[in-house]
Amino acid sequence: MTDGPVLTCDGLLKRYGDRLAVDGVGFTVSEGECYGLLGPNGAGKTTTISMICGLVPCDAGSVWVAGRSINARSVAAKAAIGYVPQEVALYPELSAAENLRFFGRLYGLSGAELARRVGEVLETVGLTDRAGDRIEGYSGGMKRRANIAAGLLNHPRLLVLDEPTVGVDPQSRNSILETVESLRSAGLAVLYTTHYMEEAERLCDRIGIIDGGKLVAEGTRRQLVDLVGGRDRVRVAADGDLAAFAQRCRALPGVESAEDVGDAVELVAADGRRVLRPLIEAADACGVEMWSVEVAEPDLEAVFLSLTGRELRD
Amino acid sequence: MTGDQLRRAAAIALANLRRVGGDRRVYFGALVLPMMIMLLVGGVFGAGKKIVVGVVDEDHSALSARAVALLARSDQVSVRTVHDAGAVKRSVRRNLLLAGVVIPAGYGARLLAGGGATVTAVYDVGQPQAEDARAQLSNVLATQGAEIAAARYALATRGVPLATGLGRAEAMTNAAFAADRNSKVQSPSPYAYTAPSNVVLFTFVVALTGSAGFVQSRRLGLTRRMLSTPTSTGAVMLGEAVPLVVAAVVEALLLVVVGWVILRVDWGNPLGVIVLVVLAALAAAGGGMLLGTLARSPEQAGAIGIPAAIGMGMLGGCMWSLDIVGPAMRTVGHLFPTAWAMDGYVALVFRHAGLAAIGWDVAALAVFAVVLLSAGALMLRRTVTPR
Ligand SMILES: Nc1ncnc2c1ncn2[C@@H]1O[C@H](COP(=O)(O)OP(=O)(O)OP(=O)(O)O)[C@@H](O)[C@H]1O
Ligand SMILES: [Mg+2]
Repeated sequence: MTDGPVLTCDGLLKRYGDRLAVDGVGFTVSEGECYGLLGPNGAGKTTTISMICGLVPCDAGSVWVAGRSINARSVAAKAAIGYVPQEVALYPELSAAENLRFFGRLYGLSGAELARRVGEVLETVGLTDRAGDRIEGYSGGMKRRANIAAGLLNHPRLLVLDEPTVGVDPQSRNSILETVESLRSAGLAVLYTTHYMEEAERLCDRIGIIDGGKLVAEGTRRQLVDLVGGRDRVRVAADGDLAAFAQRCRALPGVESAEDVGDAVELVAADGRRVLRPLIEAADACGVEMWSVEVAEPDLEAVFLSLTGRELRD
Repeated sequence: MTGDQLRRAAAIALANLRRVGGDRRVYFGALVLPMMIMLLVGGVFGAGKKIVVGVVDEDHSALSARAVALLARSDQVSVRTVHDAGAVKRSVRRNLLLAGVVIPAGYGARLLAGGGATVTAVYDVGQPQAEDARAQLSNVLATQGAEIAAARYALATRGVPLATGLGRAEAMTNAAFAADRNSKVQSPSPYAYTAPSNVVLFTFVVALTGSAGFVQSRRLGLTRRMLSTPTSTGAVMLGEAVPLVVAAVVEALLLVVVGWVILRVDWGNPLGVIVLVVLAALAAAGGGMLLGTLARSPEQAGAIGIPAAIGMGMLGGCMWSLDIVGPAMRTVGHLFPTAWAMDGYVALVFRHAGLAAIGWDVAALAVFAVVLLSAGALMLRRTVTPR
């Protein structure tokens, strides 16, 4: 429909009293892209999202979604956004289907179209067979899935999820992540906040690290890792003359160190994936038989620590 | 507001009503309970119950017997003969009798001689019907006074013997009484007071406790979630406020119908009833909106709402008539919409007043409705508007 990013926000600023909850945050999210906002409790994730969804007026900055400006007075422009709040915002006394029909009406759907769409989103989050049950009887994971379903009713171009996996069992969590992955593949622009770095690593094409209301770094996982000079660790399990193999590895370009640890050789490299092919050639040359190769990239936890001097989770 | 937004407001209102409708406790609190109260209170203190008056006749004359007969003739009084004045006072004190009358020895002779006689009456002023008993008694004494005056006049001007003149005068008042009784409309249902009382009381109970839903919408983040859709602030406010008005109106109309069909209450002017129902519901809904925005939790809304409704009901005359309280309490009562609503219903039911006759009550209720709804809307706007 429109060229360029689905979401553009710039210079977002929100003050509560003398506290700056959000301080100059700006980023873009394109079609088919998942952007992760990663930060600890109180970092300003929800406040940022609230400004993007027009739920809180900005003290400064601007938000554009699908080519339309969004602010706290916007009404029609919100049709392009699917918002999944941090807390489950559904009527506990009503069934999932009733809740979805209700929100569908708020998105302007009615009649056959509404019924069809409710069926589709229930299918998407895997709640079709429990659609008639009251929300209050749902497990935490099911509630969160229903909460997500409500944000999909309007075929949003931008899907905003605020920590959708908090307090959810691993199975539901996995199902939620899979849902988000498939929605992204279907072309939605996804803005995903979390304080779980594993989720950000798995889902997000780009990640913004937010702390104390400021976006302290932004980029792909790789870019963030490089930013703090991170090194990959490569572990090669093998049989044969491992000492000779280790020595040969040390000579390879990009390898900083290699050590024989008995049943394996452990290497440190700037980019683990780049050294895989030379490693195999080196093993052949030494007559070493490789069993397995593991590449461990430095995680975002380490990145966060080095950027903010604090742990991601308190 | 555009049709689009009105449809959204309707969806919000329906969701709110549906969620309340699924709760069985609501049916007990809003239907069974008020009906039980109406039946109980109406059955025990019904206006149709006769006032039991103890009479001590120390005179034993034809005239004292006539006075007792006049008193017994009244629809509202049942006379019980007691033998001494001390016993009458004790019985009234113990609430065995509502009132007592002592006719002193020499009563008849003094009246016939053209003099006065002192009849002692004992009442418990704390009883709502004491006033009725007093009125009945003075009515009796006035009637008998007129009969004697007529007989003495006939004696003085025409020389008709006193006993003959008295007999004629008594026959005339008896005939007038019979005519009056024939033309008299049916006496009010024993539920005539308790039915409107409960209509007013439960209008406020429903609207004030209904505010808990408001608090819940806010606390669950539903209000915020609604605003993330293309729904305007006005539509959200309307969708949250309308169910309170609807619930209060439906409650009041249901109780009016129950009173009418089951308890045979004659409500009087239908337009007057509708106006009172709607205005009281609007005032109550305004109060509910205020409470809903001020309360921190649904429990708090209930914990404040119920006693507030009952308190306003008490002060407004839903538990006992404001006719029996002092002028200060009556004034205090009229600081609340309940008193004006009750005044309106009492005029419609007991005096068969028309809409014009309850104009002041209607106007006062309308002022309450406007003030409370505006204050409620203002507060609601503050809680709904993004900050
Ligand atoms: N309505 C408000 N009034 C005052 N302060 C607020 C308000 N909302 C947020 N804050 C403050 O702004 C800061 C950012 O809060 P925010 O909810 O955006 O953090 P978050 O990153 O979403 O945290 P969490 O992971 O706990 O959800 C916090 O210090 C918070 O206390
Ligand atoms: Mg948050």
